[in-house]
Amino acid sequence: MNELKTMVSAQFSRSALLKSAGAAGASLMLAQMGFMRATASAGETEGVQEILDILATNEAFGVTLVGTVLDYAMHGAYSPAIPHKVLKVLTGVRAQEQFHLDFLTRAGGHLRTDTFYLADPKLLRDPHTLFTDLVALEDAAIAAVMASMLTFTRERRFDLLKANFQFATEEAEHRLLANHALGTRPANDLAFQPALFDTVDEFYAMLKKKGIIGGGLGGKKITYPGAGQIDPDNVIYRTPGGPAVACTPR
Amino acid sequence: MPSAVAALTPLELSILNGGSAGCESVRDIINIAATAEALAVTFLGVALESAENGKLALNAEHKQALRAARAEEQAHYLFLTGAGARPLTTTFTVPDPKLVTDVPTFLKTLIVLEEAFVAAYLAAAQEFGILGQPKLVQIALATAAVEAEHRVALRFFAIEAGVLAGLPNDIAFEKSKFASVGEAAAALRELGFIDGSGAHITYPGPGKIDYTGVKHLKP
Repeated sequence: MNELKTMVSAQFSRSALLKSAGAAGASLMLAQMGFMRATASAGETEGVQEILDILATNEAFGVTLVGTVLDYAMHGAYSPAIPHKVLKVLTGVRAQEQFHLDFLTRAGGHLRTDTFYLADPKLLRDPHTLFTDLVALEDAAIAAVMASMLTFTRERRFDLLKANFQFATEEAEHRLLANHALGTRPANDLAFQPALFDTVDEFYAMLKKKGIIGGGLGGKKITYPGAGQIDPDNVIYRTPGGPAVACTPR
Repeated sequence: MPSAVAALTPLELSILNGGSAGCESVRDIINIAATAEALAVTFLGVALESAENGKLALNAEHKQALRAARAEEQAHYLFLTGAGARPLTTTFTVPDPKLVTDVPTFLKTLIVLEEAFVAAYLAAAQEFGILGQPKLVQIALATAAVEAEHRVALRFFAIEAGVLAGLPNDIAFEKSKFASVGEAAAALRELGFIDGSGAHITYPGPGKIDYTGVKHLKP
């Protein structure tokens, strides 16, 4: 801690301060806080294309899953019924996942599959199961983007860093609303979003393990984009615009 | 140090540093972030006290969510200061007294603040990336995600109260507003929360910070 404080507060040499604050100081800060979860090799071999493909596939899953949920809800499959205002939120969620997918495919991402499997039948009839799973899926999706930042930084793809940050934080809005629909109070129950994966590929492996990709656990097969029209009404900021940081390390 | 620069406040120095072509330092970034978190802790404390005194008509669910939000902002503040950040100030100003007496004004302003916080961490993440610090990028995202949760929760409450219309989740991408973290600090100043003419409030604000129901207090 003394060494960290000395580095961060050094005033005698501006260049030393900036170099230390930019590199070693930051590393010390992270070590001090125990946020050195990943090994040195984590993310080193994961490429931008692989990441875009996985994230695009996950967004396609989101579009398809929510479309299926909405279709089942409108046919009275859920007991108790999902309230209308929650269905409106889910309609917005589906459109937002589609806009995320649109961005990722424009950036060069390709779907690894357009077919997904829902192993637990309760997902399509029990709101508690549905919203529990949605919270977990959003946690995982945000964590996948967190993992992607290692590669985007290494490859100096700051355009992808920015855009992915913008949609991952929007996924956190989905998480909150799903948690609220689940009945969790307070629904805002996290101080920091958890880092669940060292690599985006770990996230993809999780989707396979859950049977969502590949259907290894059986279950209902659903195909992108799922049932019904995607309704983007009431959704704005459909692309990751706004100012980008363009600075030079001193 | 030239006397003109020495005469500037830390906030003004941060804004100047952010306006140049060079990246802000990690230290500058976390100092501004800590300032924003201190503001959030303090303002929420004042608002909650006003609600408890019957002056701000928040219901039980609103208060529960805001107590949790205050605890989360405090967790962010403690993390940043534990890493060496020093807030530029711990005294803030309430630009409009209606902010703590009128629910529509309160909710709409807090939504704007949360959007600014998300955008500040977005700028920070980009700078951390340019500086070659991917772990700091991840921490910025882990923090901003929670600020986005605050945004949508407030919009949810505002829609239920008839203050806003539409969906709580009305955007597909969180808004980028700043090309530097210094711009975010300037925005807080423009909004009147720093060096403004309103009533002074001092970190951490009134009342105990209540962590009930909040988990993952560290990244």
